[in-house]
This record gives sequence, C-alpha cells and structure tokens, in this order.
Amino acid sequence: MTELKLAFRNIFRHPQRTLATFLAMALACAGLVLFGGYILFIHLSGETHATMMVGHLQIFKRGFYETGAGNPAAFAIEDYEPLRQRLIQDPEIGPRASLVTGMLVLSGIARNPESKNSAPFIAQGWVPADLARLQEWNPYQLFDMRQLAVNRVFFPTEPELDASEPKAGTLGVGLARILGMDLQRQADGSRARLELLCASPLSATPRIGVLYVRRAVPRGLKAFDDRLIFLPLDYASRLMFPGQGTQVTAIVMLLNRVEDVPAVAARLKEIIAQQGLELEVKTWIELLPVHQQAIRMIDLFFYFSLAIVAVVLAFMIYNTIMMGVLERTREIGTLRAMGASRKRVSTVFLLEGLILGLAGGGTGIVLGGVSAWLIDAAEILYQPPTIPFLIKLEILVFQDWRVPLLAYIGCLAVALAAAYLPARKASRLFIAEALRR
Amino acid sequence: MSTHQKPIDPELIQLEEVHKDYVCGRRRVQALRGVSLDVRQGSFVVIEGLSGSGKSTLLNLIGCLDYPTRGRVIIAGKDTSAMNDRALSRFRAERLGFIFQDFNLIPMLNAYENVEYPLRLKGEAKAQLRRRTEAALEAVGLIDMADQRPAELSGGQCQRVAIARALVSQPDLIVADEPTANLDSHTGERIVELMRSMVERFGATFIIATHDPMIACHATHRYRLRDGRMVFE
Ligand SMILES: Nc1ncnc2c1ncn2[C@@H]1O[C@H](COP(=O)(O)OP(=O)(O)O)[C@@H](O)[C@H]1O
Ligand SMILES: [Mg+2]
Repeated sequence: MTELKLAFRNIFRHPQRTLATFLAMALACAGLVLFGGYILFIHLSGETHATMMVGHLQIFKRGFYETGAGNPAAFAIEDYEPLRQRLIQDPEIGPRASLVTGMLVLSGIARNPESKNSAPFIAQGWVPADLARLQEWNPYQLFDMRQLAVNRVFFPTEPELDASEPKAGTLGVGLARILGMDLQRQADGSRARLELLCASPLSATPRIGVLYVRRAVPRGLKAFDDRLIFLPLDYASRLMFPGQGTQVTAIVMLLNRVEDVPAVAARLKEIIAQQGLELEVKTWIELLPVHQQAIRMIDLFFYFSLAIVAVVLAFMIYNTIMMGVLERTREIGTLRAMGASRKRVSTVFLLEGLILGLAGGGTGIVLGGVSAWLIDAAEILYQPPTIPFLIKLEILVFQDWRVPLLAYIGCLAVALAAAYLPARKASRLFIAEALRR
Repeated sequence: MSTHQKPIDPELIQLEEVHKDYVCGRRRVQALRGVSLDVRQGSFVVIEGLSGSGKSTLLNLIGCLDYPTRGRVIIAGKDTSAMNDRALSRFRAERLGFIFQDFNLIPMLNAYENVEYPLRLKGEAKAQLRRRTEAALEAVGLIDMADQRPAELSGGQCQRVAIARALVSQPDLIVADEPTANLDSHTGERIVELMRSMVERFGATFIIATHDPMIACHATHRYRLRDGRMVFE
C-alpha cells in the first residue's frame, strides 16, 4: 500500500522527467501498434490475394511441380473426378473444405491474327464458377472489389470466366500488350480473338484453338502478366486432350479456415500414402515462395524495429528509475532502517516502472488506435508489396486483439525489465552507507 | 498509545569487544577498536565524542544496520551477527526505532503517513493503525499537522514527527544519532524534553549520540568515545 503510494508520488515528483519518459513510451507504443497493425494488414491482404491465386492447397502428379511446366500434358491426374469425390466425402477433409476443384495447366504459343504478333503463354483452365468462388474468398473483408485499382485506374472486377462464354478467357496485361491486342469490343459486340497453339500429347501436330478475350487482368508478377491466360477448363481439356473428357493437372482446394491447412495437408498425404497414389501436396505457402519472402522481409523489419524501440525504451526507463534511486538513496536507507525488507524497497521501484509502462503503453495503444482509425477514415489507396493492385489501406490494430494486447504486455515487460536493475540496486544498498548521504 | 510495561530484561544492549573497520580503497579505518557496553532497559544513554570518534558507527551496530568486524552485538538477547538481512529487517521493524540528525522523513508522505509506516511494516491490524498513529502524533503535539508533508513543516516539527514515528510501534530501543544537531538550541531543548518524557511515559530505552551538552545532562548514563574507544568519565 505505502509502496504504491510512494511509487505514484515519486513518479510525479519530477513531472518533466516523467513526462519525457511517458511520452517516449506512448509514442513508441503507438508506433509499434501502428506498425503491427500494418504488418497484419500486409499479412492478411497478402494471404487473401495468394489464396485467390492458388487456393489453400494443391495436389499434383508427383514431379509436376519441379518439371511439369515443360510438358504439363504429361502430368494429367488420372481418375480426377472419383478422387475429387473421395476428398469431398472424407470425414476429415470434407467439413473443412469449402471448394475442391480441378485445374489444367497448358502451354504453347499465342498469336494475335490482327497484329500477327505471337508470344509464349502458360494457361490455366478453370471451372468458371469455381474460379469465381476462389477469387471471392475474402474472410478479412480487406478487398472491396469496387476499390481495386492499378496505377490509380480502377479495373472491372466481374468474374474472369463465364460458363455462358465457353471459349472466352482473360490475358495477363503484359501478354495483351505483347500481342498488341485491341480489347475494345467490336461494334457488333464480338470480342477480340486469339489463336492458341499447343502441343498435345495425343497428336503429332500442334493443336490450334481460338480464344475470345474477355479482358486483360493485372497479375502482379511480370512473369505472370506477360504469359498467363485463364480459360474454361472444359475448353482447355478439349484443346489438350481431344475426346478424353475433362482432364486436370492440379486439384485445388479452398478451406473454410486457413488454420486448417496443416491438418488437411497431413490428411491428404496420409490418403496418398495409403492408396499408393503418385501424387504430391503443396500448400499455398509452398506454391508462392516469393510472396512468403516478401512477407518474411517485412516481418524482419518489424522485429528489428521492435527490438530497437524496446532497447531504447528500456534505457530511458532504466535511466529515469535509476535517477530516482540515486536521488533517494537516503530515503531508501531510512526505509530500510525502519525495517522495510529488501523486497518492499525494490517493489517501490518496480511499481514505478510498472506505472510508467501501464500509463505509457495504454496511452500508446489509444493513440495508435485513434491514428489507425484516422488512416482508415482517410480512405488511402495503397498497394501492399505482395499484391498487384491498390486497395484501401487499413491499419488492423483492433482486428486481432492480440496486436494491442501484445503491444501492451510488451510495454509492461520492457518497463519492468528496465526497472529491475535499479530496483535491485535500491534493495541492496548498504544501509549505513545510504544513510550517510 | 498505551503505557505498557515491558518485562525487565536487564541488559537490553550488550556489546562485547566490538571492532568495526571500514575499508576505503587501500585505506583501512578502524572506526571502533574494542568497545564493550551494557545498557539496561529504560535507560537514557548518551554517547558523546568528537566528530569522527565513531559514534555513528556504534549506533549503526546497535541499530542492527551493520555487522561488527569483530566482537558481538547482542540486542534484546539476540546476536545480530547470527541474523541475515531479512531477519534483521524484521527485528528492526518490531523492536527498534530511529531518530536521525536530518530527520529523514519520507518527503512524499505526509506526517500521518510517515508515522503510520512503521506500524504497516510491523503488520499492525488495520483497526489499530489509525488509533495508534493519531495517539503518537498527539503525544508529540502535531495532530493538527497530520496532513502536512515534511517540506511544509519546520525543523522542530519534523523532528517531532520523527520522534512520533520512532515511538509509534512501541519499540524496545530508540537509536538517535545527533537528534538536535540541526535544530536551534531552543527547539533542541524542546526535543530533548520530549524524548525524556517519552522514556517516562513508555519506558522506552534511548541511546543517543550527541555533542549537545544539554542532552547529556538528561542522561542516566553517559559515555564518551575517542578514536573508536570508550573513555570513562
Ligand atoms: N562507510 C564508511 N566508510 C569508510 N569510513 C567510514 C565510514 N563510516 C565512517 N567512517 C569513518 O569511521 C570513523 C568514525 O566515523 P563515525 O562513526 O561517522 O563518527 P562520528 O559519528 O562520531 O562522527 C571516521 O573516521 C569516518 O571517516
Ligand atoms: Mg556521526
């Protein structure tokens, strides 16, 4: 009781010194909360976008991931539909999966009959409705589809594929440029055309198909922008495997919760092993290593700033409290002479650290929260490092209660740790010596 | 504060051939060189001596704030060398009171809180705290100043608060190191009278280091230190 009183009153004994430490603490904490909220925004928006591109899990024929791009046709998954049904009905996977669909990768040369330009492409064949479901995956509500923009130009976000246009697909913006596509609809409403040449495993001569281009889509990575085509799965299968029905090179799964990825991946591996299937499983993290590198780098920045801020703050608090110990040496000697234990004396100084931490950290979180709200209200368009378009910047301070909680606990921990040495020194002062001051 | 009579423990303080050396870098100061002393319950003992003669050192040992280099310090039957820091702290809280030359009130606590603190250290029951603190402030005539911080009190008032603080937990022994040195002679006289009256009221034992002849004349026992040794008068 008296210890708390002493701690409180001594903190206000030097208002300027306390204010400086308090402000440093509050600003640092606010900064970290904002940074943490920004990191969370990057993580969640990146995760959202990554999932839109590759789902949560993909299953391939063994070897496809390493070598298949050269000859996707050689890696069609046998008995795709029965396997898909099996997975949907699996008691461990079924309830966790929101979408299990097939995807066919093919490659070849695309040619624009108008401009006579041609370029190599890689195409993905998707079930139009399933692709739309994948691209609508938005559990964190970070993408307002009407707010997506590239270079400040908003682009249409209607579904990429449409079952009513079985031969129409989309191009990466780079590929459209390379091919010199004019994507304005003709006066009669017809779309620009493209010829696709692809090597089929079933014929000696290349297969040629016509693709109607719905629009060009920014894909984020230049490699994708310059080469990627999306088209309906049935049409892709017909091009590659004429007369063979629907064929796929990957089974793409979307789960209800990203947290289930490891469990479902483990279960898939189990099934593959049990059945002796020539398949392998990749998670979205393994499928997008570049994405993960960007995230990891940002995380590193964050931890680095966290460490620097913590050290600087710790020094400041240490200093403030150590000054108190030095100034109050005789007072400490007096308390000890009267019979106060070491613990009582150190408690006073630890409490001072704790109070600074509680007040500074609390103020910092409020400050950070208010700033985050202001940033939110300002409706800033921003392009996260892993996303190819502009989205509304949100600092997710209170989205995940762990951000403010961790910031607060962090502030308290730093304050207590910084107060520990001065408190220990105070409690171990040589009483007779302290009284001579 | 009740006038309770403690059982007579004839030798409250026993010092046996006590030595205290301070090591200060290379230098070794022999502050006490074989001091023996017996003090009875209820005495008003005065230790005189020039500055540097070892009075404070002696009082620190008696007040259980420091250990002797050699010899034994036995307070209320307990050998202080046998007690660790925690035990000594408790012992001081329960049996000892201190009065200092510079009053040493805690500046961030008001008079009332300063006087109450030893009771809290002793773990006094809540119900008793207020009654006993007020009684102690009453006894030194400062009940009206209870809310004042030390900075708002005069030197004499501070020392009276300090006396109330030393007495409030009814210690066996009160150790006072030059309690009047920072007071004018008139105020000093009042303080001495106050301490003297406390001996009569509470049966407290005082051991006081001083240059002040006015204190000395109240003493039941007078000793003189010279260069760390007792000289008998
Ligand atoms: N902590 C200490 N370290 C070194 N020397 C000390 C210390 N305390 C006291 N002394 C020395 O011991 C001697 C006695 O000091 P002290 O007991 O304070 O005398 P007094 O209280 O009579 O003035 C002096 O020479 C003093 O300098
Ligand atoms: Mg002295």
